[in-house]
Amino acid sequence: MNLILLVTIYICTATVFSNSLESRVEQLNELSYRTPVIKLDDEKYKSFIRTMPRNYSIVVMFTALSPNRNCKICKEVHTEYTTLARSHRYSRGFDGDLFFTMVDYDGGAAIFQRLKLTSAPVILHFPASGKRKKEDKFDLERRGINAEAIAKWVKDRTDVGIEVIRPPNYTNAILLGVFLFAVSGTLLIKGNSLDFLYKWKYWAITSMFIMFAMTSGQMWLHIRGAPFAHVDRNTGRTSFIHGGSNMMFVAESYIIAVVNGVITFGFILMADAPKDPTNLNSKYMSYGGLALVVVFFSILLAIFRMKHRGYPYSLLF
Amino acid sequence: MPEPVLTVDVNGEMDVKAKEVLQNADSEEEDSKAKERERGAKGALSLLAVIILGSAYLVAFCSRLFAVIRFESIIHEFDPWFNYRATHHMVENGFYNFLNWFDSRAWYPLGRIVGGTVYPGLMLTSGTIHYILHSLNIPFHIRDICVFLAPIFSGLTAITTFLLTRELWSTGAGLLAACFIAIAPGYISRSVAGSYDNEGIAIFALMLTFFLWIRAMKKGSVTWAILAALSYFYMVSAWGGYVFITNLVPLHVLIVLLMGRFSAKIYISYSTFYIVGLICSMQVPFVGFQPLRTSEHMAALGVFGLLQIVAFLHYVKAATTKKQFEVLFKTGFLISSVLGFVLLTGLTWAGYVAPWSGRFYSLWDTGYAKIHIPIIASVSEHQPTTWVAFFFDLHIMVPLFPAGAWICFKNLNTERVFILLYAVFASYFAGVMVRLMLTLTPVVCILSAIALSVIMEKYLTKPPPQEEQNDDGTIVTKQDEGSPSIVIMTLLALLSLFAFHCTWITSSAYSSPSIVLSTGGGGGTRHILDDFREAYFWLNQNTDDLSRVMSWWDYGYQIAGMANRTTLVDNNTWNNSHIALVGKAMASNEENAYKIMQDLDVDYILVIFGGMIGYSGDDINKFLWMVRIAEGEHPQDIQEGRYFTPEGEYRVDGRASQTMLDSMMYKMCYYRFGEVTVDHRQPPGFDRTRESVIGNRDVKLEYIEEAFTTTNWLVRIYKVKKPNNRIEKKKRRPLKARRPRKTRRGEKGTVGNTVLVSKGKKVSTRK
Amino acid sequence: MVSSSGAPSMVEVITRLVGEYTSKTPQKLKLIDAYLGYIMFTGIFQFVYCCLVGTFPFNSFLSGFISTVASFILGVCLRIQTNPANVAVFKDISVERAFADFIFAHCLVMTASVEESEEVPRKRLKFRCYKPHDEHLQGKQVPSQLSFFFT
Repeated sequence: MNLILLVTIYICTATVFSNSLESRVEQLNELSYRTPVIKLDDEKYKSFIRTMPRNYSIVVMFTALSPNRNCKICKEVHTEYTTLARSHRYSRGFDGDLFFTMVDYDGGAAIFQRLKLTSAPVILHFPASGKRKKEDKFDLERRGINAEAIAKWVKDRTDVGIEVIRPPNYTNAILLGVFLFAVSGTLLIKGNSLDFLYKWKYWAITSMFIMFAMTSGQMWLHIRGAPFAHVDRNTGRTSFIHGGSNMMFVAESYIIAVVNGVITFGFILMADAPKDPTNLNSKYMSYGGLALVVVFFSILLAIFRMKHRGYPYSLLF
Repeated sequence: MPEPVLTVDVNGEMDVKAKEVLQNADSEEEDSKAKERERGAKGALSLLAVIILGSAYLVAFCSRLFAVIRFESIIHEFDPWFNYRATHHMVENGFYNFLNWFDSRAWYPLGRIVGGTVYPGLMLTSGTIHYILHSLNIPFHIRDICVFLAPIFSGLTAITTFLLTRELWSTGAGLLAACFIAIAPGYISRSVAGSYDNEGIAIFALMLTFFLWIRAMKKGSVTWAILAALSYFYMVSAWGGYVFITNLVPLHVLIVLLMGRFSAKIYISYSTFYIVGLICSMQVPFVGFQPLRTSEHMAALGVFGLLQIVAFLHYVKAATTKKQFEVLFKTGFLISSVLGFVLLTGLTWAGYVAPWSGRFYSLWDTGYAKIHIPIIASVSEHQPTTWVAFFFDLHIMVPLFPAGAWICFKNLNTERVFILLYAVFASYFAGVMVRLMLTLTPVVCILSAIALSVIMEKYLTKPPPQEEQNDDGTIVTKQDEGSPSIVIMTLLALLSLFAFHCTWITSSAYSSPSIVLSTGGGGGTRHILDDFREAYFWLNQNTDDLSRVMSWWDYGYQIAGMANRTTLVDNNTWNNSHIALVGKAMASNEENAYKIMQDLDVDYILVIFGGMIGYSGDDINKFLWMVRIAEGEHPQDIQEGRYFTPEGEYRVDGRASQTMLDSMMYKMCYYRFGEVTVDHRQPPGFDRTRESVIGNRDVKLEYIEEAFTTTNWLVRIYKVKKPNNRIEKKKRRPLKARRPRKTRRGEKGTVGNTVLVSKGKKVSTRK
Repeated sequence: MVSSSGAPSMVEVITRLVGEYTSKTPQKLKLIDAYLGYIMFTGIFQFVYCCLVGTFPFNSFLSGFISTVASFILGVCLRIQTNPANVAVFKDISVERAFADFIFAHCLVMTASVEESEEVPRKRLKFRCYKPHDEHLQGKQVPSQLSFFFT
């Protein structure tokens, strides 16, 4: 009788405990069905993370998403994190041993305090068993915020490989569709006369626009990214031109494009001035063009000297 | 015409007919005089053109000689050393041995198939020149030919640019273009004397191919197209950038077709050029079957097919009425374009046609290389271009060439479409990658020359005399002097500013052989640091011929070229895992590194250390890249984070992390450096480049020993010690039958068998 | 294929074309056309054979096929340049010059084809090398036929 009682008690506690773990896993599964990234508050945090035993590992992102916190990088990391979580959730390898969660500062300040986190965002990994090591904190600065980088870190820590599947980027397809539609539309409407394509001025202006864009460094800005201008906090002066020769601001590229454009315009004026010298226009155009060229080229040289110290040549100033 | 009869009437006056005849004869004489004057002018002009071209050649050659005059005639940088070694091998062993060369002294223990992985045009050119000179008994050493090859070919580039611009515009513009490209810094940067690299001859081949293509298109003759194809073959053998031609020429043909300017000449020139160029380009072993297998070459094939169809339709059009032709055209066009598109997509999807290779794909998708191919992203030449770089290399031509483009658009014909396409695409590519500024420079020179030529012609020639009616009814011819020479003077001033700029840039920025460093002492003295060559020469003289040297891949070509020793990794960087292994050896502690070095049979290690003189391109500054590349392959053993301080800084002083202080690279660079006083104001062990005192001043080496350090501690060579003698376990003697010992317990034994026996005394057994 | 009333059908177009061709083209051009037809047949035959039997050795198939295509193109160029209807376009290219170009080009093409078809032995060597771990670097430096080597 005692034996039976003991056995029953044992079975009950065992089932209770295992139910507790199972029920937690079930809850986690259910929550992750609703959203791939489970939002945690204090209670859930305690229940899912702090109660042992666990046979699953949890990755938590501590972030501050509300607009008054003004954390731009939190939003970017949140997007990448959600992409990763979604890829994991809908992959075939999802069998309840890794969950992605997040804690927002506004709902879980206590958790932040307990873990002594002072900055956001932070991504931590809580392993199924054992203590948290230094590598269980995702190093944002060094690895970047790409979903692929986070996936690699997760694989290092948990041996769960996640293939990041981004939702297909439809912008390219849509743009192509719009372009084709426009082209076929114009062909249908215009029919036999495609005269506007034969106006060389449109083509000329498009090509020159491309040339000015390239020579003023737009591709560098597109690849590297740079601020628009720099406001010096101490003196309050805005500098539009960076002092060194291996960096440039967006404003600077626009200035250079405009200066180049004016010089080119001056040369075109000189070239297009009518040959007839009695025509007053001709004199205006040629001298005007020359003046534009000289003045603006001196400006260009001055800007170049500003960036490249030691350059010895100058024109007017 | 019947013979004119001069009749003189009674009064001695000639009659009208005679007068006419005389007048005719006079005008004929005038005509012939005019013709002779014209011929003389033409002759003078062509003499002038020849003189100007000759001076452009001379200027192009001489302005690239700064490095040779300041230092000596030596091959610069890293890549040219491999080219030089390959050329040397070809000259010694013959052409076919070069094509079949398997280099076992590089990428030990893998080796490298040189014949199939190199563009042989450069070596062939130098080899041919060497052969010709030697057969004429002019004994030039191959090294001198290699050093001066680029300036020679840059002069030839000036001449071909002249020819091309003359086809496009006029002789005057051509001469201006030749002068521009002779001194443009964008081209000089890759073709100084000593820079023995593919680009030196590739730009010449590029301009030649373009000139021959335009000529072929204008004339519509098969010979010119064949010549263009042969020049294209030369370009394919010289440089990987031939893909640019392979895509630009078909694009030109396509645009011309879309403009409705199809003519038989275009058909003849492009079809011949394409098919002969195809079969010739497949002769180069490195290219092989790529022209039919990779996406980069598909555009040419597509346009070829399209051109055949258009030509056929054109032929049929002449034979049918408009309506019939329309029916045929629509069905034919629809079927063929759908079929072509489906076929191409199908082949690409099925894998027969390879997609765009990473190197070229990264030009369109600019974020690709950073994520997928970090070695490409890390090369400094592959970075995007700032406007400063454009201005640096092109000066006044940056705003001048769009003006030239405008003028070309205004007077559009088939050839000028080509140069405009070239300009737009080259400016895009130059914006994406600094190295491609080289392909932009010729077209910028051409368009600027056209613009300048138009402007100067306008203001240099006198306008025709104007006939005006004066107040009193008489007709007066006014000859205006034209706009005064202010415009011309200013333009000449701008051009001379351009010339000064180019020379200054060449002298200060592009004329340093990076193998010899020079610093300026006070008062204008120059101090030459020849450490690299000192170290390589030491290696050459003091090590066994078959010994293997481990260093970072930057120096592989130089070690192979100058020291003539086997290297593990070099600048070819074709095997990332091998480089990662070397990086792991540099980044691990001595014991682990020693295991790797044993596996790889390394005898010597070479590191570059700039802390003594403040050289910032040394291996400690590159160390993080070694760690990153090693981490990519061995993430379990190497973690980048361990080499930083807890705050995340990269330091070498006392606060450096322990892993950093234990790494081989740190130990090798700073061995015995703790005793050196670099500056009397600083304590010993002060690293000038990092500007801090090193963390571990007493470095002990266990598995390697120092072999050589150069004068300024720039290059340090270490020898890997052989493993210690193994301590052998005592061998068990074989069992022999032992004599039984008859001793009792506790008895002392005797030493030897001597027992002193004296007569009468009893020998006691107790001792 | 009748698109609308009044527009001719394909059959009509083709019969008209054939009629024009047989009546209007001069004898010399018809000769060239016969040669072109023969070349085209050779090319198609080679291609079909290759599809049936397989592409090994690829470079010999290529050299043969490309030489047929090149001969075809050169024949077409010759035809265009010697067509009396095109005299105005090709003012400075006489018939003799066109034929000389044709011969010169053919010499070159044949030399190149022979070179191409002889490239076999070197490529058959097999080296036992480490397989490079980065396939994306293969596109950069290692050409396609070297993938035979890295097994």
